[in-house]
Amino acid sequence: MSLSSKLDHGIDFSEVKILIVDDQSEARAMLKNMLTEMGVTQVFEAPDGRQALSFIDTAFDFIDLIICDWNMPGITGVELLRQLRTVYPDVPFLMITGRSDMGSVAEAKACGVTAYIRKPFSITQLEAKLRVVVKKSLVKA
Amino acid sequence: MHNYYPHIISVEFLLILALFFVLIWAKGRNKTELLLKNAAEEIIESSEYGHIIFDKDGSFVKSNKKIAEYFPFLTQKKAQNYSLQDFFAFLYDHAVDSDKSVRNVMLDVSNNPQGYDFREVIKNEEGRLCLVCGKAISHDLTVFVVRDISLGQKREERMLDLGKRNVQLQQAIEASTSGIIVSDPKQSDNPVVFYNKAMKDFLGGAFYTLGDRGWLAVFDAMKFNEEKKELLLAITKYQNNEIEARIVGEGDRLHWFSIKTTAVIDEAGQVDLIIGVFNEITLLKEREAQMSHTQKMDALGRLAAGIAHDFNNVLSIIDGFSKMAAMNLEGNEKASKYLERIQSASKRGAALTRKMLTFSRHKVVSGEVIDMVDVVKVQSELLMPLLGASIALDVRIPKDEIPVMCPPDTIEQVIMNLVINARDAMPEGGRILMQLFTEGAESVPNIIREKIVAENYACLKILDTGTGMDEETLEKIFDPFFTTKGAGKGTGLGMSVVYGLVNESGGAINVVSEQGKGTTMSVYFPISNKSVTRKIIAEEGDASKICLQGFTALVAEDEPDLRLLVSNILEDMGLEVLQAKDGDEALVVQDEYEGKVDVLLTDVVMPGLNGVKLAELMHEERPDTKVIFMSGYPANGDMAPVSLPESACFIAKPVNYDSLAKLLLQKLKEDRNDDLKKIEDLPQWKTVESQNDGKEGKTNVA
Repeated sequence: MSLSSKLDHGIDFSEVKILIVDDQSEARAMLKNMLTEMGVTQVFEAPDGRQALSFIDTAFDFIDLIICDWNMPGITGVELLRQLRTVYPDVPFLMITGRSDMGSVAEAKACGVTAYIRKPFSITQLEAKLRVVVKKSLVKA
Repeated sequence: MHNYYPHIISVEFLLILALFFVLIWAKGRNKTELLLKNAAEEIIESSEYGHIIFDKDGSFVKSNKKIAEYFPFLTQKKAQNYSLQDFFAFLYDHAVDSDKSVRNVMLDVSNNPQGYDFREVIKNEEGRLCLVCGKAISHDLTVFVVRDISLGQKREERMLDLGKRNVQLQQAIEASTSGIIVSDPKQSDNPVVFYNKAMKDFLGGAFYTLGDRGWLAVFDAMKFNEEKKELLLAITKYQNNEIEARIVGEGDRLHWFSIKTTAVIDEAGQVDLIIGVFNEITLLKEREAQMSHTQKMDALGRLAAGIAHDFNNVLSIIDGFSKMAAMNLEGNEKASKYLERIQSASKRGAALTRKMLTFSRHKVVSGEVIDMVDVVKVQSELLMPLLGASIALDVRIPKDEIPVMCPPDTIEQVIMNLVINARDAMPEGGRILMQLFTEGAESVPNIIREKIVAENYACLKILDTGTGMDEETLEKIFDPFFTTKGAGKGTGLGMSVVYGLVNESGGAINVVSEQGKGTTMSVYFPISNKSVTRKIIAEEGDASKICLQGFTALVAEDEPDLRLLVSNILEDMGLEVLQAKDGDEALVVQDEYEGKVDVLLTDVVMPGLNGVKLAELMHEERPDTKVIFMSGYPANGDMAPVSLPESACFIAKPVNYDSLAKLLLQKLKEDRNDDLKKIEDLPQWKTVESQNDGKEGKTNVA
């Protein structure tokens, strides 16, 4: 992953490759559209945690950032994050949580989430959050 | 001890005495003598008393089996060498009395062996008490009769014990908090023969006029209505019965009693007594009702949260796509209008789910302490225009601040919902009285008393002169989507939101309503012992004395010296300051900061994300944050590298203390105007359709 080299001079989203993990296809489609509006050109999708894991394992270098829904059947967002953190401690991870998930936020923070965004959110909010995630990753790098 | 059954011993003595006279008389008459001797031996042997006989020299003559039972060492064989002196020594050692009369008798015997009469209680090796009576007979023999008197003593002890236990039982009955009453059905009219203290208390003043009248008088005195028929029927039929009765006590307070009547049957199968046990179960009943209410609210909360959660997902998809469609549809006005409608509907949906989630929220710890007096004052001023000319709002608030730990909008929302409900309960107009005062924990309703968290509570009381509610309505008042307002006039979530908010703050609500007279809602919030978090202290015209305690500012400035200068000025004013050296860092800082950011002071031109874009990105996440742009360039115009929004607040560099102080004060006070705008957004429903039927009720929650 080479986020830092791509984003040195201001953030240019067209260079950022993002993996969306959400079990709801409409939600994935919406998120993808929002990202496209923001100028992101490379978006990958995974319908569940298991497929996300296998995708990341085979194509880690192809993604810069993961956006993942908290609430998924099977492997939940936080479980995915926990498993990822053992192998990729620095992968930028944006968690999407529901409004009533204050407990989940604390848990996600404990697992090392880069940032979280609460549903429903607008493009502006998503952009702000993505900037936070990218900026934090840059600082780390 | 000497007095146990002396007459029995005397009879025995007479018998033995007679026997010996017969023996003496029969001397020389060999055949008869033999017969009598045998008879005497037979009598002594079969006696239920122990006997031992010594001759005038004190040597052993005879003993029977019984005495060996009392004194095992006195078996026939061993007793042969046993002397009167030995026996006395034994008695002396085992006498229970301390006066040692045995010793005197022993002395007496040695002086005058023929003339004594002796009685002593001793305790044998097994611990049995024995009465030993000795008598010298006809200068020849000394006869002792021994009788076990343990049994007699036990009986006496039992009697004493029973008496004692009787007293204890009576004391226990008197100490019982259950009212106990006993009647005697064997007498005509079944008069009451006993009341304990608790029963007298239940009967109060009526007790003194009751006398021994029967059960009807008791039930009448306790103001039972329907229940007394059932109770009396059971009593007259001598059946056991248990019922619960509700009576209206002083001050219209409801009291619950459980009454249990029991018929006691004697050995002959006759009804001996009728016992009534009265227990006040008001508290239990209240707790039961409270518990089932709490459980219901919890279940509803979980349901609401579940629905809201899923519904939110659906809404965010609708909202997201319609926004994107709108972006791609520029030029097509008709389609854009339709999309606008979709978006406004999804906004309404989002507001609804937010309310549902507020209802189901559980207690969260909010670090902020607000002054309730200030909030109530401001809120009531803002609400005034909403009420219309036909409704008078009377506000009574104390002068001193009341610190309460909760988010500021909690109280605002509570007041708004309660006042709107009060307004809607008065379609013909009327009066709303809003009172704020403090109460000690001991005077708050029962409902909170179970979970007291503070010494004092702030009570906000809102009284209206409206239609009031019946019991049925009161029971459902906090249920989500329960409304008495006509279709389309209310969501039925207002009171649910109040319930959620109050619960979350550790407070409680008490509702009292009377049909046709009005409703009183009392909301209790625990008073915090911390001081109010946000405080604006400012003197008109003197910027140097400004104090903005408890506020937080975020300073985004790429020039380090300037950033430090501005931060120092703000800290001097009492603000907490967060610093960032560019726009993106500012985004990260505010994202990680969990408290409220009251003001963002940002440079306009910064590398990467500029100030205007930063403000825009922050606005949706933190809509309440005020923005002040700082720039060395003029605000707008040809010279400005970035054009500021029209309504932007701008301060020219170099920043000085006085102008920044004035600007901050002005911005931070803007909050109230924002609140007014929020209130204006409220639906203006006016009429209330209520299906009340003339009952009154009361409900409360915690």
